[in-house]
Amino acid sequence: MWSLVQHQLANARLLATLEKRRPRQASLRRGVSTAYYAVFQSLCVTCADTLVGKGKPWDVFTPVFRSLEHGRVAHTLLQSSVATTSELKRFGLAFKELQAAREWADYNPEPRPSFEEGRKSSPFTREETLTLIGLAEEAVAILDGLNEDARLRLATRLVARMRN
Amino acid sequence: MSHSEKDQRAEAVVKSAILRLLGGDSIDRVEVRAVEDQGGEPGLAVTIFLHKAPSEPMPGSLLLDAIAAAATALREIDDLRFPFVTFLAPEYEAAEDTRHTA
Repeated sequence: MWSLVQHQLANARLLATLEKRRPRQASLRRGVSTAYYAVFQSLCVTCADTLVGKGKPWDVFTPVFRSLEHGRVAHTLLQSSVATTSELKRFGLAFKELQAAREWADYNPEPRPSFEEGRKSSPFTREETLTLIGLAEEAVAILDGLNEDARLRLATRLVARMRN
Repeated sequence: MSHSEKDQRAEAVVKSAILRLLGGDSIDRVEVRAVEDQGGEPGLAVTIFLHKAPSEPMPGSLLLDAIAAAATALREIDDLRFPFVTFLAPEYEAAEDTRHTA
């Protein structure tokens, strides 16, 4: 695992457990967002490492690293032609769930819909945040466990634009 | 099939899949409702209300199992909406500053 990704996941846990009493909304929101970005950047580095190669000059590495678009990635990962194994399916599902949580964490001032009708009124609870961080760790582990061929096929589908 | 029939069918298969996965003992109820995701795509918010918070937060792997079980159940009835799953328990700690004041 890339140390940046590892440290982002560690930072997310720190944020989620920062306040000993009731957590601050800002800590939980940043924890959720940081967990998502750990997964997204793990995917970015997987694509660049696979298609360009580790240790290659930045001017060829960075454009591939930066070519992934959040919405397109989530859509592509759930396509049956990409989610060809149970691990890839699980990765796609985790990515979509985390992306939606991150959108809420970063942009929506309201409590999450379920919470308003439930017993809490909060964008996230501490426990939900920790579960989402656990989900991000699970997703990164799936990505790290892919074999070379699966990584190459995944990276190609995420980076290349297919003609309709 | 009307919208409401589709939602009712989705709710039934998702609830059944979640109960099959987790067993009924720890679950107070499961709520399923139609939502839109950030891209405007239709989805389902699935909230699993637990009777009591477990000693440790739900593991990410269990959340993923629940999403996968719900997604598979939905696909089997040709419903391609994404199930966004949340666990909630009475003891869960909400943030202290949730309400915006002008």
